[in-house]
Amino acid sequence: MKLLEPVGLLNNGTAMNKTELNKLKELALKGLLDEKSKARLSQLLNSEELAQIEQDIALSKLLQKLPSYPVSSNFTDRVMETIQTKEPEVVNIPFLRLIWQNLTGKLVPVSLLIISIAIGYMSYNEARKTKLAGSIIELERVAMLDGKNSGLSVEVFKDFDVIQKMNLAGSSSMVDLELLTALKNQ
Amino acid sequence: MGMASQNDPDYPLILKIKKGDSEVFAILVDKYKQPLMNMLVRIVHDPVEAEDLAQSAFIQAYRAIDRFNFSSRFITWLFTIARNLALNELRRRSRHPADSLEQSVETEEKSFTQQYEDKKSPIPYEDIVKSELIYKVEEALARLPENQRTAIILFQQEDMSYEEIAKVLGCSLSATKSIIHRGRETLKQALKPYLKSGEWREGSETKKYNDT
Repeated sequence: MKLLEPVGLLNNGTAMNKTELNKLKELALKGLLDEKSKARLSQLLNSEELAQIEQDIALSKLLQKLPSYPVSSNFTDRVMETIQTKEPEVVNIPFLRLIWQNLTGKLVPVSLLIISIAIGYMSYNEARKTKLAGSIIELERVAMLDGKNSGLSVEVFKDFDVIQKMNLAGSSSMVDLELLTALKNQ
Repeated sequence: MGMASQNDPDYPLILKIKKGDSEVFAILVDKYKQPLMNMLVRIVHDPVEAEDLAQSAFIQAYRAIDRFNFSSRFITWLFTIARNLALNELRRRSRHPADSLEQSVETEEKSFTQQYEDKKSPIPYEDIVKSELIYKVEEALARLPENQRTAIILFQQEDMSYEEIAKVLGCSLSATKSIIHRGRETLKQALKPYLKSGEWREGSETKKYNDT
Protein backbone atom coordinates (compact mmCIF):
# COMPACT_ATOMS: atom_id res chain seq x y z
CA MET A 1 0.00 0.00 0.00
CA LYS A 2 1.47 3.30 -1.07
CA LEU A 3 1.90 5.85 1.65
CA LEU A 4 1.01 8.73 -0.60
CA GLU A 5 -1.35 8.43 -3.56
CA PRO A 6 -0.99 11.07 -6.27
CA VAL A 7 -4.18 13.06 -6.55
CA GLY A 8 -3.18 15.69 -9.11
CA LEU A 9 -1.28 18.90 -9.51
CA LEU A 10 -2.60 22.25 -8.39
CA ASN A 11 -2.32 24.95 -11.02
CA ASN A 12 -3.02 28.10 -9.07
CA GLY A 13 -0.98 29.82 -6.33
CA THR A 14 2.25 28.27 -7.50
CA ALA A 15 4.57 30.47 -5.40
CA MET A 16 2.74 29.67 -2.22
CA ASN A 17 2.68 25.95 -3.06
CA LYS A 18 6.46 25.92 -3.39
CA THR A 19 6.89 27.28 0.12
CA GLU A 20 4.34 24.85 1.45
CA LEU A 21 5.92 22.05 -0.56
CA ASN A 22 9.36 22.73 0.87
CA LYS A 23 7.95 22.81 4.36
CA LEU A 24 6.15 19.50 3.84
CA LYS A 25 9.28 17.96 2.34
CA GLU A 26 11.19 19.01 5.45
CA LEU A 27 8.62 17.30 7.62
CA ALA A 28 8.91 14.21 5.44
CA LEU A 29 12.69 14.21 5.86
CA LYS A 30 12.24 14.28 9.59
CA GLY A 31 9.54 11.61 9.44
CA LEU A 32 7.04 14.01 11.00
CA LEU A 33 4.28 14.04 8.39
CA ASP A 34 0.79 13.66 9.79
CA GLU A 35 -2.18 12.41 7.77
CA LYS A 36 -3.31 15.86 6.80
CA SER A 37 0.18 16.81 5.61
CA LYS A 38 0.46 13.57 3.69
CA ALA A 39 -2.79 14.31 1.88
CA ARG A 40 -1.65 17.81 1.09
CA LEU A 41 1.65 16.52 -0.28
CA SER A 42 -0.23 14.12 -2.49
CA GLN A 43 -1.96 17.08 -4.06
CA LEU A 44 1.26 18.93 -4.78
CA LEU A 45 3.48 16.22 -6.29
CA ASN A 46 3.47 13.95 -9.29
CA SER A 47 3.91 10.19 -8.95
CA GLU A 48 7.66 10.21 -9.43
CA GLU A 49 8.17 12.93 -6.86
CA LEU A 50 5.85 11.13 -4.49
CA ALA A 51 7.93 7.98 -4.83
CA GLN A 52 11.02 9.96 -3.84
CA ILE A 53 9.24 11.42 -0.84
CA GLU A 54 8.11 7.96 0.18
CA GLN A 55 11.69 6.76 0.12
CA ASP A 56 12.74 9.77 2.20
CA ILE A 57 10.04 9.03 4.75
CA ALA A 58 11.05 5.38 4.86
CA LEU A 59 14.72 6.24 5.35
CA SER A 60 13.88 8.73 8.09
CA LYS A 61 11.81 6.14 9.93
CA LEU A 62 14.66 3.65 9.69
CA LEU A 63 17.23 6.13 10.95
CA GLN A 64 15.01 7.01 13.87
CA LYS A 65 14.90 3.34 14.81
CA LEU A 66 18.65 3.02 15.13
CA PRO A 67 19.35 1.59 18.55
CA SER A 68 21.21 3.40 21.29
CA TYR A 69 24.59 2.19 22.42
CA PRO A 70 24.85 1.29 26.11
CA VAL A 71 26.42 3.78 28.49
CA SER A 72 28.08 2.62 31.72
CA SER A 73 25.83 2.91 34.74
CA ASN A 74 28.50 4.89 36.62
CA PHE A 75 29.21 7.26 33.73
CA THR A 76 27.81 10.34 35.45
CA ASP A 77 29.53 9.49 38.72
CA ARG A 78 32.91 9.23 36.99
CA VAL A 79 32.44 12.59 35.26
CA MET A 80 31.39 14.31 38.48
CA GLU A 81 34.26 12.76 40.41
CA THR A 82 36.73 14.09 37.87
CA ILE A 83 35.40 17.63 37.81
CA GLN A 84 35.02 17.86 41.57
CA THR A 85 38.38 16.43 42.58
CA LYS A 86 40.67 17.87 39.91
CA GLU A 87 39.25 21.33 39.51
CA PRO A 88 39.28 24.19 42.02
CA GLU A 89 36.06 25.90 43.03
CA VAL A 90 34.61 28.08 40.34
CA VAL A 91 35.25 31.69 41.37
CA ASN A 92 31.98 33.56 41.57
CA ILE A 93 33.38 36.82 40.28
CA PRO A 94 34.85 36.15 36.85
CA PHE A 95 36.65 39.49 36.58
CA LEU A 96 38.66 39.00 39.78
CA ARG A 97 39.42 35.46 38.67
CA LEU A 98 40.75 36.81 35.39
CA ILE A 99 43.00 39.27 37.22
CA TRP A 100 44.24 36.57 39.59
CA GLN A 101 44.97 34.19 36.75
CA ASN A 102 46.84 36.85 34.84
CA LEU A 103 48.89 37.95 37.86
CA THR A 104 50.03 34.43 38.52
CA GLY A 105 50.39 33.64 34.89
CA LYS A 106 52.18 35.29 32.09
CA LEU A 107 51.47 38.95 32.83
CA VAL A 108 54.01 39.42 35.64
CA PRO A 109 57.17 38.30 33.85
CA VAL A 110 56.15 40.08 30.68
CA SER A 111 55.43 43.25 32.61
CA LEU A 112 58.77 43.11 34.40
CA LEU A 113 60.53 42.70 31.10
CA ILE A 114 58.72 45.67 29.60
CA ILE A 115 59.44 47.82 32.65
CA SER A 116 63.11 46.85 32.60
CA ILE A 117 63.42 47.76 28.96
CA ALA A 118 61.62 51.05 29.56
CA ILE A 119 63.88 51.98 32.48
CA GLY A 120 66.97 51.06 30.50
CA TYR A 121 65.88 53.15 27.56
CA MET A 122 65.01 56.12 29.75
CA SER A 123 68.40 55.93 31.47
CA TYR A 124 70.21 55.74 28.17
CA ASN A 125 68.21 58.66 26.84
CA GLU A 126 68.92 60.70 29.94
CA ALA A 127 72.64 59.99 29.70
CA ARG A 128 72.67 60.88 26.04
CA LYS A 129 70.93 64.17 26.69
CA THR A 130 73.35 64.98 29.48
CA LYS A 131 76.30 64.25 27.26
CA LEU A 132 74.88 66.34 24.46
CA ALA A 133 74.19 69.22 26.79
CA GLY A 134 77.72 69.02 28.07
CA SER A 135 79.07 69.10 24.55
CA ILE A 136 76.99 72.15 23.69
CA ILE A 137 78.23 73.97 26.79
CA GLU A 138 81.79 73.13 25.89
CA LEU A 139 81.34 74.36 22.36
CA GLU A 140 79.75 77.58 23.55
CA ARG A 141 82.58 78.31 25.89
CA VAL A 142 85.15 77.46 23.30
CA ALA A 143 83.38 79.72 20.86
CA MET A 144 83.65 82.53 23.41
CA LEU A 145 87.40 82.29 23.46
CA ASP A 146 89.02 85.13 21.62
CA GLY A 147 91.80 83.70 19.56
CA LYS A 148 93.87 86.91 19.73
CA ASN A 149 93.58 87.64 23.45
CA SER A 150 94.10 84.12 24.63
CA GLY A 151 96.96 83.53 22.35
CA LEU A 152 95.20 80.59 20.84
CA SER A 153 94.54 79.95 17.21
CA VAL A 154 91.80 77.97 15.55
CA GLU A 155 94.38 75.44 14.54
CA VAL A 156 94.67 74.35 18.08
CA PHE A 157 90.98 73.47 18.22
CA LYS A 158 91.16 71.11 15.36
CA ASP A 159 92.29 68.54 17.86
CA PHE A 160 89.07 67.76 19.74
CA ASP A 161 90.84 65.76 22.40
CA VAL A 162 92.70 68.92 23.30
CA ILE A 163 89.47 70.79 23.60
CA GLN A 164 88.19 68.10 25.89
CA LYS A 165 91.12 68.65 28.22
CA MET A 166 90.39 72.33 28.51
CA ASN A 167 89.22 73.21 31.96
CA LEU A 168 86.01 75.09 31.22
CA ALA A 169 84.60 75.04 34.75
CA GLY A 170 83.42 78.35 36.03
CA SER A 171 82.48 81.54 34.16
CA SER A 172 85.86 82.19 32.71
CA SER A 173 87.54 79.77 30.51
CA MET A 174 90.33 78.00 32.29
CA VAL A 175 92.42 76.41 29.67
CA ASP A 176 95.39 74.27 30.07
CA LEU A 177 97.79 76.93 28.81
CA GLU A 178 100.80 74.72 29.24
CA LEU A 179 99.35 72.07 27.03
CA LEU A 180 98.17 74.53 24.47
CA THR A 181 101.56 76.20 24.35
CA ALA A 182 103.17 72.84 23.89
CA LEU A 183 100.83 72.04 21.07
CA LYS A 184 101.39 75.41 19.49
CA ASN A 185 105.12 74.92 19.48
CA GLN A 186 104.85 71.50 17.82
CA MET B 1 24.35 36.99 26.03
CA GLY B 2 23.23 35.33 22.80
CA MET B 3 19.71 35.04 21.51
CA ALA B 4 19.92 31.28 21.84
CA SER B 5 19.50 31.63 25.61
CA GLN B 6 15.81 32.27 25.12
CA ASN B 7 15.38 28.96 23.32
CA ASP B 8 17.79 26.92 25.39
CA PRO B 9 16.00 24.70 27.88
CA ASP B 10 19.29 24.29 29.75
CA TYR B 11 19.67 28.03 30.34
CA PRO B 12 18.63 28.01 34.03
CA LEU B 13 20.94 25.09 34.80
CA ILE B 14 23.89 26.68 33.03
CA LEU B 15 23.43 29.87 35.02
CA LYS B 16 23.61 27.90 38.26
CA ILE B 17 26.74 26.10 37.11
CA LYS B 18 28.37 29.40 36.19
CA LYS B 19 27.67 30.60 39.71
CA GLY B 20 29.51 27.61 41.13
CA ASP B 21 26.83 24.95 41.63
CA SER B 22 28.75 22.01 40.15
CA GLU B 23 26.22 19.42 41.36
CA VAL B 24 23.73 20.71 38.81
CA PHE B 25 26.10 19.66 36.04
CA ALA B 26 25.18 16.03 36.77
CA ILE B 27 21.68 16.75 35.43
CA LEU B 28 23.15 17.79 32.09
CA VAL B 29 25.41 14.76 32.02
CA ASP B 30 22.47 12.42 32.57
CA LYS B 31 20.44 14.23 29.95
CA TYR B 32 23.00 14.17 27.15
CA LYS B 33 25.24 11.18 27.79
CA GLN B 34 23.13 8.84 25.65
CA PRO B 35 22.75 11.04 22.56
CA LEU B 36 26.40 12.00 22.83
CA MET B 37 27.39 8.37 23.00
CA ASN B 38 25.22 7.55 19.99
CA MET B 39 26.98 10.16 17.88
CA LEU B 40 30.48 9.34 19.08
CA VAL B 41 30.23 5.59 18.51
CA ARG B 42 29.28 6.23 14.92
CA ILE B 43 32.28 8.50 14.45
CA VAL B 44 35.04 6.46 16.06
CA HIS B 45 33.46 3.00 15.58
CA ASP B 46 34.52 1.88 19.04
CA PRO B 47 32.05 1.92 21.96
CA VAL B 48 34.80 1.90 24.62
CA GLU B 49 36.66 4.79 23.02
CA ALA B 50 33.37 6.61 22.44
CA GLU B 51 32.54 6.48 26.13
CA ASP B 52 35.95 7.88 27.05
CA LEU B 53 35.47 10.66 24.56
CA ALA B 54 31.99 11.40 25.91
CA GLN B 55 33.43 11.76 29.41
CA SER B 56 36.20 14.02 28.13
CA ALA B 57 33.65 16.16 26.31
CA PHE B 58 31.61 16.71 29.47
CA ILE B 59 34.72 17.49 31.51
CA GLN B 60 35.96 19.91 28.91
CA ALA B 61 32.55 21.58 28.71
CA TYR B 62 32.46 22.01 32.48
CA ARG B 63 35.94 23.54 32.56
CA ALA B 64 35.01 25.98 29.80
CA ILE B 65 31.55 26.81 31.11
CA ASP B 66 32.55 30.38 31.95
CA ARG B 67 33.30 30.96 28.27
CA PHE B 68 29.92 29.61 27.12
CA ASN B 69 27.90 32.70 26.22
CA PHE B 70 24.67 31.17 24.84
CA SER B 71 25.49 32.08 21.25
CA SER B 72 24.12 28.59 20.59
CA ARG B 73 22.21 26.04 22.63
CA PHE B 74 24.24 24.12 25.17
CA ILE B 75 23.64 20.85 23.32
CA THR B 76 25.09 22.34 20.13
CA TRP B 77 28.19 23.51 21.98
CA LEU B 78 28.58 20.18 23.76
CA PHE B 79 28.28 18.19 20.55
CA THR B 80 30.81 20.47 18.86
CA ILE B 81 33.33 19.76 21.62
CA ALA B 82 32.63 16.04 21.44
CA ARG B 83 32.96 15.86 17.66
CA ASN B 84 36.26 17.74 17.74
CA LEU B 85 37.60 15.28 20.32
CA ALA B 86 36.48 12.40 18.12
CA LEU B 87 38.15 13.88 15.06
CA ASN B 88 41.37 14.31 17.04
CA GLU B 89 41.15 10.64 17.92
CA LEU B 90 40.67 9.69 14.27
CA ARG B 91 43.69 11.81 13.31
CA ARG B 92 45.73 10.16 16.04
CA ARG B 93 44.75 6.75 14.68
CA SER B 94 45.72 7.73 11.16
CA ARG B 95 49.24 8.30 12.44
CA HIS B 96 49.20 4.81 14.00
CA PRO B 97 48.15 2.30 11.32
CA ALA B 98 47.71 -0.44 13.89
CA ASP B 99 44.52 1.34 15.00
CA SER B 100 43.17 1.81 11.47
CA LEU B 101 39.63 2.92 10.76
CA GLU B 102 38.77 -0.25 8.87
CA GLN B 103 39.62 -2.33 11.88
CA SER B 104 37.41 -0.06 13.95
CA VAL B 105 34.51 -0.43 11.49
CA GLU B 106 34.81 -4.19 11.82
CA THR B 107 34.89 -3.80 15.58
CA GLU B 108 31.71 -1.77 15.52
CA GLU B 109 29.94 -4.17 13.19
CA LYS B 110 30.90 -7.06 15.45
CA SER B 111 29.87 -5.20 18.58
CA PHE B 112 26.28 -4.64 17.50
CA THR B 113 25.81 -7.99 15.75
CA GLN B 114 27.09 -9.89 18.74
CA GLN B 115 24.38 -8.28 20.83
CA TYR B 116 21.90 -10.24 18.80
CA GLU B 117 23.92 -13.42 18.39
CA ASP B 118 24.36 -13.77 22.13
CA LYS B 119 20.65 -14.19 22.84
CA LYS B 120 19.97 -17.41 24.69
CA SER B 121 16.29 -17.70 23.80
CA PRO B 122 14.93 -18.37 20.27
CA ILE B 123 14.56 -15.17 18.35
CA PRO B 124 11.19 -14.45 16.69
CA TYR B 125 11.37 -14.14 12.92
CA GLU B 126 10.29 -10.53 13.04
CA ASP B 127 13.15 -9.66 15.37
CA ILE B 128 15.59 -11.40 13.09
CA VAL B 129 14.38 -9.38 10.15
CA LYS B 130 14.52 -6.19 12.17
CA SER B 131 18.01 -7.07 13.36
CA GLU B 132 19.21 -7.61 9.82
CA LEU B 133 17.61 -4.38 8.68
CA ILE B 134 19.17 -2.35 11.46
CA TYR B 135 22.47 -4.03 10.70
CA LYS B 136 22.20 -2.97 7.08
CA VAL B 137 21.36 0.60 8.03
CA GLU B 138 24.32 0.78 10.44
CA GLU B 139 26.57 -0.72 7.81
CA ALA B 140 25.46 1.78 5.16
CA LEU B 141 25.82 4.63 7.67
CA ALA B 142 29.31 3.50 8.67
CA ARG B 143 30.46 3.69 5.05
CA LEU B 144 29.49 7.34 4.65
CA PRO B 145 32.12 10.08 5.09
CA GLU B 146 32.21 11.20 8.71
CA ASN B 147 30.65 14.61 8.11
CA GLN B 148 27.66 13.13 6.26
CA ARG B 149 27.20 10.44 8.87
CA THR B 150 27.36 12.89 11.77
CA ALA B 151 25.07 15.39 10.08
CA ILE B 152 22.43 12.73 9.39
CA ILE B 153 22.57 11.40 12.95
CA LEU B 154 22.16 14.90 14.37
CA PHE B 155 19.37 15.71 11.93
CA GLN B 156 17.48 12.49 12.40
CA GLN B 157 18.07 11.43 15.96
CA GLU B 158 18.74 14.66 17.79
CA ASP B 159 16.28 16.74 15.80
CA MET B 160 18.80 19.55 15.48
CA SER B 161 18.10 22.37 13.07
CA TYR B 162 20.25 22.91 10.00
CA GLU B 163 21.78 25.97 11.69
CA GLU B 164 22.78 23.97 14.74
CA ILE B 165 24.23 21.14 12.69
CA ALA B 166 26.21 23.72 10.70
CA LYS B 167 27.76 24.93 13.94
CA VAL B 168 28.70 21.41 15.00
CA LEU B 169 30.24 20.66 11.63
CA GLY B 170 31.87 24.07 11.39
CA CYS B 171 30.54 24.84 7.92
CA SER B 172 27.95 27.04 6.26
CA LEU B 173 24.22 26.46 6.26
CA SER B 174 24.10 25.68 2.54
CA ALA B 175 27.04 23.28 2.85
CA THR B 176 25.29 21.52 5.71
CA LYS B 177 22.11 21.01 3.70
CA SER B 178 24.18 19.70 0.84
CA ILE B 179 26.04 17.31 3.12
CA ILE B 180 22.82 15.93 4.53
CA HIS B 181 21.24 15.61 1.10
CA ARG B 182 24.24 13.75 -0.34
CA GLY B 183 24.40 11.44 2.63
CA ARG B 184 20.71 10.60 2.43
CA GLU B 185 20.91 9.96 -1.32
CA THR B 186 23.77 7.53 -0.75
CA LEU B 187 21.83 5.76 2.00
CA LYS B 188 18.71 5.53 -0.13
CA GLN B 189 20.71 3.87 -2.89
CA ALA B 190 22.37 1.44 -0.48
CA LEU B 191 19.09 0.55 1.22
CA LYS B 192 16.76 0.66 -1.78
CA PRO B 193 15.54 -2.96 -1.52
CA TYR B 194 14.69 -2.51 2.14
CA LEU B 195 12.98 0.82 1.65
CA LYS B 196 10.74 -0.67 -1.02
CA SER B 197 9.96 -3.84 0.88
CA GLY B 198 8.15 -2.01 3.65
CA GLU B 199 10.01 -3.77 6.43
CA TRP B 200 10.69 -0.41 8.01
CA ARG B 201 7.01 0.12 8.62
CA GLU B 202 6.93 -2.00 11.78
CA GLY B 203 6.14 0.39 14.57
CA SER B 204 8.47 -0.88 17.26
CA GLU B 205 9.99 1.68 19.59
CA THR B 206 13.71 2.33 19.48
CA LYS B 207 15.59 -0.56 21.00
CA LYS B 208 18.90 -0.56 22.78
CA TYR B 209 21.68 -2.82 21.72
CA ASN B 210 21.69 -4.66 25.03
CA ASP B 211 17.92 -5.14 25.26
CA THR B 212 16.86 -8.79 25.64
